[in-house]
Amino acid sequence: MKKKNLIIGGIVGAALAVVISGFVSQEKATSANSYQNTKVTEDTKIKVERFNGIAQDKLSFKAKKPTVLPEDVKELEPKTVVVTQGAKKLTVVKQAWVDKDADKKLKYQRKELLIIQSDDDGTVKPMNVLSKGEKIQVAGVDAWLIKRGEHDPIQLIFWKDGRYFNVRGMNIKADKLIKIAESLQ
Amino acid sequence: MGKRLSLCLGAFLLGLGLFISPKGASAHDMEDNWANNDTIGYGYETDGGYVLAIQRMLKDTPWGYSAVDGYWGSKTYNGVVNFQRNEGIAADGIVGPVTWEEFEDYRVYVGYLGSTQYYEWNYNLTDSYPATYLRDACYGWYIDVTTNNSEDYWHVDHDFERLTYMCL
Repeated sequence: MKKKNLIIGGIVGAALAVVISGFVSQEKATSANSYQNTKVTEDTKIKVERFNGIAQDKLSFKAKKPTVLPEDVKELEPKTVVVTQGAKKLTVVKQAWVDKDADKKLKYQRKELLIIQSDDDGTVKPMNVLSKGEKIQVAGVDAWLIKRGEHDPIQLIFWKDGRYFNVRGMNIKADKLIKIAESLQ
Repeated sequence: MGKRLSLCLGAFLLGLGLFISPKGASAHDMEDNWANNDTIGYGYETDGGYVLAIQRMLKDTPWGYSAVDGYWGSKTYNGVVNFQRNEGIAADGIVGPVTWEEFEDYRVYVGYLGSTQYYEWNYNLTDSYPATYLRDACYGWYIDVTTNNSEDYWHVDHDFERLTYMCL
């Protein structure tokens, strides 16, 4: 009798374990399937093309440049990125400046400026990113200043005239970054 | 006595079953706040999508010694140590909350495309193929794992899962 109970108890326990672990592993798939999903096809696949320099003919806007820059920096070659998904397109320009003696420094000691602009009009904003920042005004529009530690990059994000801007500086003070952003023309 | 014994055995097997259940059973996506991601490295998670993501980002640094294969080894460990040293944080080779935050510092939102947020990991500012991330509204984070095109996206969680569905 005892032996029988032991066997039954063991089987019930093992079955419960299988059911519970199965339920947990299915949870993700179930929640994902509750959305309307589409298999990736040629129309929905995201393609990225990259070009050296400002490829103005690939852009849907005229790239702006700052007239205010940090001191003792050199400009790196800009990059143009074209991201497409079916008929939708995102065109992007990236411009960067670094310390003239950046090679002699560890990364966190370097002065760096990165300016990203794209034709994202801000209709849908990345609140998961913006919620980490402080909302301020830059050049007459709402902007989000996202900063952490002293030597960590600071991001200044805003949308103006139907275009997205991200002005990111490392070892550049926030007020200087704002001046750089306001000088974009 | 017999009932008690059988209950004990049942509870033991239940616990054992949950303990040895596949890693995927407790899988979850990469978090928006990377400091809340799983800890990666020796003694923690050592394979899967998170490891792929770390290796891919290291490829954009001078310390991407290893392949982007999703398996943690000495080369990936050394890459993380060098990354940590250059960030001025404890170089212990473990990607915990502090190191994840350092990685996140270089994640830059680029724009919205259809239903997807598009990000680039801009560490090496002259890199022709920086790691690119997609954030899908349904499934969360994906990263491209190749360094010469950006069409091979993998889901960032415990598992190895290529992007096959998109949320529209």
